[in-house]
Amino acid sequence: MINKNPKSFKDLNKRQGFTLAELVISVGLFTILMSIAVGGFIQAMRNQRMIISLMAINDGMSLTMEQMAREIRTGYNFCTKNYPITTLSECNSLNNSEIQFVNANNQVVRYRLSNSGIEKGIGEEIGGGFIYNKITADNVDVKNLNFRLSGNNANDKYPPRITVGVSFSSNSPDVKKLNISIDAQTTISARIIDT
Amino acid sequence: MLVELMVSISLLVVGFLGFLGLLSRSLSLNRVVADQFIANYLAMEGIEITKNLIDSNIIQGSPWNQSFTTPNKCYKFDYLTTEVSPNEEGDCNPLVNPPLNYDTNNFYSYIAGAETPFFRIVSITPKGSDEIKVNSIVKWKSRGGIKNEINLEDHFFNWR
Repeated sequence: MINKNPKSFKDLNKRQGFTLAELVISVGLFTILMSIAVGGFIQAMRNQRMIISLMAINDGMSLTMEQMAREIRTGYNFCTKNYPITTLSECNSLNNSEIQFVNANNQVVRYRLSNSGIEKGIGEEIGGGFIYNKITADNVDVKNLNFRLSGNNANDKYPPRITVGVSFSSNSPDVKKLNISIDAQTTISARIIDT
Repeated sequence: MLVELMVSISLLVVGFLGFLGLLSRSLSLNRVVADQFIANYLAMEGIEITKNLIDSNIIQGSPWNQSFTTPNKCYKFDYLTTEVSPNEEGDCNPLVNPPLNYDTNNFYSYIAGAETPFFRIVSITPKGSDEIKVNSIVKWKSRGGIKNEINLEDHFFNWR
């Protein structure tokens, strides 16, 4: 005998099938919940990708800053735009995101911002040209690079101090959408002190 | 039947809400990664500025540890600090002092600029006459009010 008014699932089982309305509602509910779940899953994957690319640019930039800091720390004869050395004529052409100095191997070295990356240039001779190589990874988008120098003159009674400010982001489209920019800064005190 | 349906749907909804909450949490996590990077370099800067001030003492012919001989002093150094004056002294809890500003030259300092979430203090303790202990402490609050701290320690000696 078919129960016309089912009170529980047990009664429901006794019936021969589902009505069209029941089927439509259950399939509809299932679809809604599944679309939320899949949407959430896709979002989670996107977030994971974004965090990975953010960590990748942090690691890359950390290596670059470390290399610059180490070379500056052991360098001498610094010049920047705010602090040109008048005796070195090529210092006058520097812009705000360039620094020139002589490193521990007595090479004339320049760091500069170029094409959203940081480049290191090694000068063949004083007054000669520089051969530049990019030292940041391609996934790093360097927006800003600033050098500030102080205490660089002889007899100024201060040791050279170089402050490096860098603003960077990622070239990955996931990070670009969020407009995240990291403004990092560090100061280096040259270990070869002047007078 | 209706009750069973309501219970099962509300269970599903609660489950999904938790899941979605987790997603929005991971969104704020990427800011944590970036802030940690910045704070790390700001803390290193505190140590380097102290080293620079010690070298200034040597160039000027003063005792190497001049103005760093009093125990438990904390200082608000920035990249423009060239002398240790009473103005540079601050509370040893970084959060009591003003935060670092992002100034018009695009550097972090105490001169006018956009306020940042970073607070820094350099704590200096002399250890005898030939050694000083320097702690560069950076504190910042990330989204949701979580307090973060980086404490770098270095020791400088009377060797030059």
